[in-house]
Amino acid sequence: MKAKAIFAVGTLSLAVLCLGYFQVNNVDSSVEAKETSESVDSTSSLTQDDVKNMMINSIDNFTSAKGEFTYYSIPAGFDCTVSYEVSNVEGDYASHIVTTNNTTGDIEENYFDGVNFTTIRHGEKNYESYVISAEVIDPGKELYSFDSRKTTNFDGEPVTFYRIDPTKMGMAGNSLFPQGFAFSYLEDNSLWSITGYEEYLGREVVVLEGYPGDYQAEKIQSESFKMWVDTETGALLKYESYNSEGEIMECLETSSIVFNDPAVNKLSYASEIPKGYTNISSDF
Amino acid sequence: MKKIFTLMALALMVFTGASSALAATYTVDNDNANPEDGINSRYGFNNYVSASSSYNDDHRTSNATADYYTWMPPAYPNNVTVSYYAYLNSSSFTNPSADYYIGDTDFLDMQQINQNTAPAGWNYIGGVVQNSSDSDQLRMELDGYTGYTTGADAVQFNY
Repeated sequence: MKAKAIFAVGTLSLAVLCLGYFQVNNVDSSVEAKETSESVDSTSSLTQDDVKNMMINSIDNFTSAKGEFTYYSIPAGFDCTVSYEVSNVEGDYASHIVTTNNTTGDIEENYFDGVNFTTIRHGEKNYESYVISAEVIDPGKELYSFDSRKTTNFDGEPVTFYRIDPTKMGMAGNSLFPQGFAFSYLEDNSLWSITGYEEYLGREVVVLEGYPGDYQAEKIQSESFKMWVDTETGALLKYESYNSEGEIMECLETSSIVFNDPAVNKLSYASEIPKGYTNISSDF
Repeated sequence: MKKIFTLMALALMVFTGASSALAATYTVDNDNANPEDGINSRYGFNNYVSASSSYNDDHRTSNATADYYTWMPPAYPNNVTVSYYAYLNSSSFTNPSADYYIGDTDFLDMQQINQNTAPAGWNYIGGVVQNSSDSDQLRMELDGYTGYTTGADAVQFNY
């Protein structure tokens, strides 16, 4: 047991000592979404590792984001629309996420104002609210590269180090901070490739295509996938997986997105609990 | 080899400011049988599944809103940095935004993981410094949502 603990912290330490850096790429541009998607001659020449590293560190690459996407999975049985406003400035972290279940119509809202995290479930007319009091440790912040965050322990079991999301963006993270997609679909570079660059919603995206690996292929009942990744931030703007018949089994599709609008940093995210809703916050 | 890892561990402890006195790992499985390793409590999560890919060959799942599963390790010393890892290795775990609440006597933090895209194995949830002098235990709570399947398997606590 002690060996496991030593390995866990040791792995992080080695990466910290060897790499000794993390990348911060704040983007100044603010791009309004446009309904376009077409091939472009890109000036980018991203490698596979560049794309992976950007996706697992995308939280470093924008100060705010506002937009909406749909995300469904036929095998998993979910279908939702997510609209979001996220302030990603140190000392001013905040988010307001609205997730609509497209099957039932139920709406869930998550508010975070930097201290208070509140979930309101309108379908069930209840809510939970907590004050976040911890000094959260984010060792992944010092581990920029994909390989330093996807490792194994002494027992040979795989270990994945996610970055901590200081904005509590929840469902919106599947697009804005797509660590899970990168870790599970892109680990083996021989199974996927960069197939081009396109313009999507007025932004340049790099297009990835490949096989998701045996574990993920079974889970999503798909033989192949395609991703459209924003080249400035690493956000996943669009994703599709396909079964052997070429039918879409899973899809994430952004319909609007704006990065780095200072107005979003100034919004108030105080939650308003509708009258009559039941407080189901747990006792800790 | 052990010397190298010891040096690396010490370096991280300096980096995080954590106590280097008593590094340890507790692995608390679902339906943990030995209270000395930690205990569970749950609301719902009634679906017990035997699966060879799961930690100790079993896990639990839920499709119900407001269900939760709790893992509580044995007592900690104070002022240690505790890291949390969830073992996820089942094609039936599909919640795209599973909430992991971390707390002791007070709520400390919440992090979310897409179980539908989580790689097989140990997934780092987060880490907090346990500063409370009046509590010995931390727990992690998992909410379930209608329409998805949320999985509960083993959790590892490192400090």
